[in-house]
Amino acid sequence: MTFGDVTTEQGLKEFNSYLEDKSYIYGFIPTQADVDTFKSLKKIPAGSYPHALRWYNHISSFSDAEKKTFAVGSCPFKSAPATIQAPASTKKAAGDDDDDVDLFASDEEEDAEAIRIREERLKAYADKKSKKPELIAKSSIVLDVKPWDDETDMKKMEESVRSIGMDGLIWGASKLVPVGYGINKLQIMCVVEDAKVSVDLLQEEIEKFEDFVQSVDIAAFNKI
Amino acid sequence: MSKTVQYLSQIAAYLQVPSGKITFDSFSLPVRTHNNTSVTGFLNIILAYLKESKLDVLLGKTPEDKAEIYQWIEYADLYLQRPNASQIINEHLPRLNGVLLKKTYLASNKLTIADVVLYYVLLSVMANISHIEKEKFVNISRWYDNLQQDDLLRQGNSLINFNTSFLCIIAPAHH
Repeated sequence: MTFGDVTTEQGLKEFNSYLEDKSYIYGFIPTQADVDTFKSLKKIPAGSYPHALRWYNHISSFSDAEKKTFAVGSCPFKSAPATIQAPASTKKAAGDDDDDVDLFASDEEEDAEAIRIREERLKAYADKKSKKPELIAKSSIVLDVKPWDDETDMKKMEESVRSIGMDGLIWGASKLVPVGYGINKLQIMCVVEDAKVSVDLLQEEIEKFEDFVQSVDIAAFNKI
Repeated sequence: MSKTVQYLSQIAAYLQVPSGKITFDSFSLPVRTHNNTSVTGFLNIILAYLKESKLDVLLGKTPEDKAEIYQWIEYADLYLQRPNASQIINEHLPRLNGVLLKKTYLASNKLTIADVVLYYVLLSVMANISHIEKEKFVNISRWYDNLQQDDLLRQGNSLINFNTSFLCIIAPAHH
């Protein structure tokens, strides 16, 4: 099991469940993998991530000098691609050596054939596309903007969200949808030109209104 | 009482000191006699072992650590030695699980004698609880799994399986 970027909420969540049954990231003693991850965490994990928090507190109890003495450990989320590649290549080597069952050679031939066909198709597609008149690709997106609690001023939040202006971004209708416990989330539509507006960037921009916005999700994403 | 003798001798073996002759006085408190000196009480005997082994690091650094460790040992002595397994599972493991949610080791942030004592005292319980319970007390499982990796501490006891993907254990494949 691996976890991604611990600076993101999702990564932290996975990290938390990763540490549920482990005291340390790698093995049973603190390693450099712990130190690396500790450094890459920008803030103390929230109380809703108790396992990550426990680990954080534990690692922070070591002094810098002690941290340097930790053994080298591989970080699962960093070494994962390497470990995946390694067995594959050894298998391949074994396959090449083995004259009786040469499973991989034929695969490779097929691969080459597949690549050739795919390239031809891509080329054909590109040709076809270039002949067409330039069509601006647009997407209609419905965003869910979640406030911190029921006391968040939803009007102000909407105003702040709408204040974001980008080339190729048009805000549409919006409404408040109750989520429960008196909390509403803001559902807002917008139309973006794919080439000009990155949705990730837009989400980040909205999340910058930290006073109001807890999180932003894409509720619907349609190509027009 | 025989359990107490067993725990003390295991702790002594871990600390690599002679466990001495363990007897029980009229209050059924353990008494350790070694080199013509006798020490009474579970905690005191463990402290005597520690003194002989010169492994003071296991007692923590600060007075607060020390106090916490004493409390854990007395907790183990008072609550975890006498009752039967089901009592420990139903009453004490949930509490311990809550404590270990926030801690990697029982006291301080290092392995201390408190962890060592509880390792031995809980060994028979931990070796026999079901996988569902191991999952339920995941914090204890994590702590215990981490402790048992130390060969010196484990003393030849077999590793308890805390693997969380235990479907293969519950429903072993028959061919």
